[in-house]
Amino acid sequence: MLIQIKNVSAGYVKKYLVLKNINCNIKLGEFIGIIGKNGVGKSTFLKLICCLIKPFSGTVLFRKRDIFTLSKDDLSRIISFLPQQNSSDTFNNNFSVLEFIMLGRFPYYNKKILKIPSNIDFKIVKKITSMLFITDLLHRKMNTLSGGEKQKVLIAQVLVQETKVLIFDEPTSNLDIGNQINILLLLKKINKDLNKTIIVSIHDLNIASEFCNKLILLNNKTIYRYGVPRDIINYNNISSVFNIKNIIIKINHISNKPYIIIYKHNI
Amino acid sequence: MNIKKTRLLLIVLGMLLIMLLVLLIALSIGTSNISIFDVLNFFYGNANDNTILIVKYIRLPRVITSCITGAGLAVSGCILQAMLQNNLADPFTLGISGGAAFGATIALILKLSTVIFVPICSFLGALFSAIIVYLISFRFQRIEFDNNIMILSGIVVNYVFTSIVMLILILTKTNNFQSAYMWLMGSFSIFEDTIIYIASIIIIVGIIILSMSGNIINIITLGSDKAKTLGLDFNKKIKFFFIISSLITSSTVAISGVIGFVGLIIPHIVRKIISSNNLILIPMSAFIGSIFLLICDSLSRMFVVISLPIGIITNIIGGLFFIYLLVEEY
Repeated sequence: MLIQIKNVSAGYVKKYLVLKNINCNIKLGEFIGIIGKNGVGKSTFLKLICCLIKPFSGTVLFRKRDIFTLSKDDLSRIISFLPQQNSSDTFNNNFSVLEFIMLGRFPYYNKKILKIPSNIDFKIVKKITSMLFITDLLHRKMNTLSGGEKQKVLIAQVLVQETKVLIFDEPTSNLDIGNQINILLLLKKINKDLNKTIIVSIHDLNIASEFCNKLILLNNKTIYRYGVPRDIINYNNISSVFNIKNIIIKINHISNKPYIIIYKHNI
Repeated sequence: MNIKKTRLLLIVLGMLLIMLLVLLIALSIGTSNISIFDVLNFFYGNANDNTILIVKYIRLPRVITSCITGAGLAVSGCILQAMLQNNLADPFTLGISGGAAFGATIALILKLSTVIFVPICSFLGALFSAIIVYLISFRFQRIEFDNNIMILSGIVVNYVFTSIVMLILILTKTNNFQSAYMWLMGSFSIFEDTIIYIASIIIIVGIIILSMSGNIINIITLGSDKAKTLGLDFNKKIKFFFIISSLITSSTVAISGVIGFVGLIIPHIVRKIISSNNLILIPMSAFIGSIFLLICDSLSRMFVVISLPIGIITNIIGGLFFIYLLVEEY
């Protein structure tokens, strides 16, 4: 068991819990999607695993060790995170893509006096960018990138951190369908080829169902269902959690995963 | 452009040379006719008495002050913009100008020696306001560092201090205030060597520390969540940079009053023209800030018999140049 979440209650203010009594286990090499309504605590769940918020009760274990007993250095080499909105662009739009991706290597040059990357860091950035087919972007400026390209660069920045667990908070929001699929294919490839454990929060249920090994459906401050897409994406779960009636669930016979069709009543 | 050590060193050395050149030219500008060769002769030790008098006792302190101030303000502005994630942040966003005015006014009311105590009191006043802002944004904070709370507390503290100064102005009818206000508008005319030395040391040490933390500041601009997962002790670093930038700004206030605009505009110009990478941005801002203020100060001495507050010239030149940068798309 890679990550174990035991009886965790968490939130931002003690009076108002966002997550209540959460239990879940995540294995090495899994690709997990977190789904649920807006404001149900998807981001909080992810931040909990990243150690960004301290649970009010319960523990989060990484390989049987409480993650809050790990040093910041160790943690930065175990878990990497791509937050939902990225910070104000004005401060990094005149970065070259190479420099920007290099910031992901920070845990490895943090200890040096001038904190300047070494040749090893450059080699790893080259390796990762060629794997993501974005080598030609390396010398462009950040402000010349399109939304899809920028997302790939951000993913590369996470990958060069070389951690076992990668966490993405809505990596596909604001992207067109082509880019959404490309980004998830990319994550899938990382998951398989590099054997990384990936946890993403995602709004598009069809994409979540198609790409994730397991889904966590959050509702009412707790984990409502946790399992393979076939067990999660069904009429009962989806209609009750998202409060919708006009959907049909079908099985995609190519991948054997369920998908959702929306329809509108003709009045 | 990948930043490597040798490249960084070359850039810094090159800029240092340019800055020294501008400094030499600045020394030769003024109402009395002294050529650049006279200035060079002065440094070789064979100049006439008149030149020595003017260069050593009048121009050199002034030129060094403007050089140091420009560098300090630009770097401080850089760091605050990155820390607060706000384009409009400048060294005085965090209430330092109000605190400085308060300190200076106190010094004048107590009729302390202007040359020594106005700078010292304004330095202390500036630090005092910085401490208040620090306490509001870190001590009484709910859970996390919040840049908006910090900005707001800075602005509020500034208003409170400015109002207190106004109140004192109305209640006591001293005529010293004209000079206090001219000085707070930014001027290089009050000089006491020891104060300049001490302030310069603080500013230079601060700039060196910040220049060496370029990559940490880069990480800070990625936002607190990302920075923390990259292993950075975010809150501790923010506090550290806050203290350093407050010390730098307070020191510049002590030697040259409140000079607006340099700290706001120079980081933007460097970011636009050269790079957003703080590893380069911070040292470059220091050099370009100092060159900019040197040029402005030289202009103010070149054209007018009575020297203008430097703030007026920095605003006009910097503002026009920045408008040009905004209009010119690339």
